[in-house]
Amino acid sequence: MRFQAVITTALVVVVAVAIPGQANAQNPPAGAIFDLATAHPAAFSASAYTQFTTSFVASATSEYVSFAFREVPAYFSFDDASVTQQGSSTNLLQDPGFESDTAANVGTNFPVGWGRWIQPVDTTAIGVVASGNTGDCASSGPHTGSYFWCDGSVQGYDGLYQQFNGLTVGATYTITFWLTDNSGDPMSNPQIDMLVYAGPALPTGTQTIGTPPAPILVTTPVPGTVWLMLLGIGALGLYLLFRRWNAPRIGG
Amino acid sequence: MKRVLTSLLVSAILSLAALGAVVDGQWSAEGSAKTAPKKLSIHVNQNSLSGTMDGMAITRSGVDGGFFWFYVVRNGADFLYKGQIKGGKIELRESGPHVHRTLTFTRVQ
Repeated sequence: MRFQAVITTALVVVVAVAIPGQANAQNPPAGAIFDLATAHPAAFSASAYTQFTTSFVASATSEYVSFAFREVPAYFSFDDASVTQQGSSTNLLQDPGFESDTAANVGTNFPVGWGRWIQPVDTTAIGVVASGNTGDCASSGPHTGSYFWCDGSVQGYDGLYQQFNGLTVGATYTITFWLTDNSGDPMSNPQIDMLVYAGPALPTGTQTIGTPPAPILVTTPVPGTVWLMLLGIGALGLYLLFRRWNAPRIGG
Repeated sequence: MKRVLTSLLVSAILSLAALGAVVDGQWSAEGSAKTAPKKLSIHVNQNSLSGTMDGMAITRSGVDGGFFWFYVVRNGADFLYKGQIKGGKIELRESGPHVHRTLTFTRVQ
């Protein structure tokens, strides 16, 4: 009995010492709709991007879509994202490939058209706009174009987001993006992972940095059948106009 | 019960000491890049590190699982080093003004 008490006390002491040691193990916010460590647990080849797809059903007319990163030993490269309503090919994201960025904001945390959030812990190596084959993501460079996002957030997850107004409640929206990682290590939550969030609010426990961009007003895409009907009505109108002009005039 | 508790205690102590045991000590850079740091002295203290790189003290630092990171001021600028043990060597990703590269350090016997 005494032995058990001694061992239990020793365990409590070890755990008490170990817990502060885990203080840096920042877990991601809850509620992700995509977890890279599950979708692609293997290591990446740094120079080869992989495309990922996920989706969500809008539960409100206004929602946020966020891409979150934490890469303790190395860096993620992220490029060419899209958010589309099912049945439409229109990309709702502003500057989805970071090509509105310029040489002047390379190395900054503020990509044109995107909002940013962090978990309120040390922000070492949070994401930056990157260009070409330079910087910490030199081994990948952009997927296409000149600019991309390079993220090696060490202690907390940091996120890129855009807010959409005018979504159709109940409609399905597809999210795609291209990603690679230069650690050579397998993905592991929480140290090397990338997650996607979609919802009426930003992920719990995060705080925005910088000035958030204005929400994107989504216009409901006109379905193909409606376009055909409109085209038919227009053609009929033109035909009737043509007939009226060419009708024989009485008493002329 | 006795065995379970003992093994729990042993594994807890071992995991706590694991990174410290493999990282603590003197390390020397492989290669001869002129501007690269040459010597690393490092010690793990629970969730942070202490030590020096080419005589310059480690400033901020952290440890998470098998990974660690630290800052050193070199030539007046903050340099970030992200590290892990790979094949018995320390692999460090160096990130500073106009410098982004991977360095390998071997243990000094």
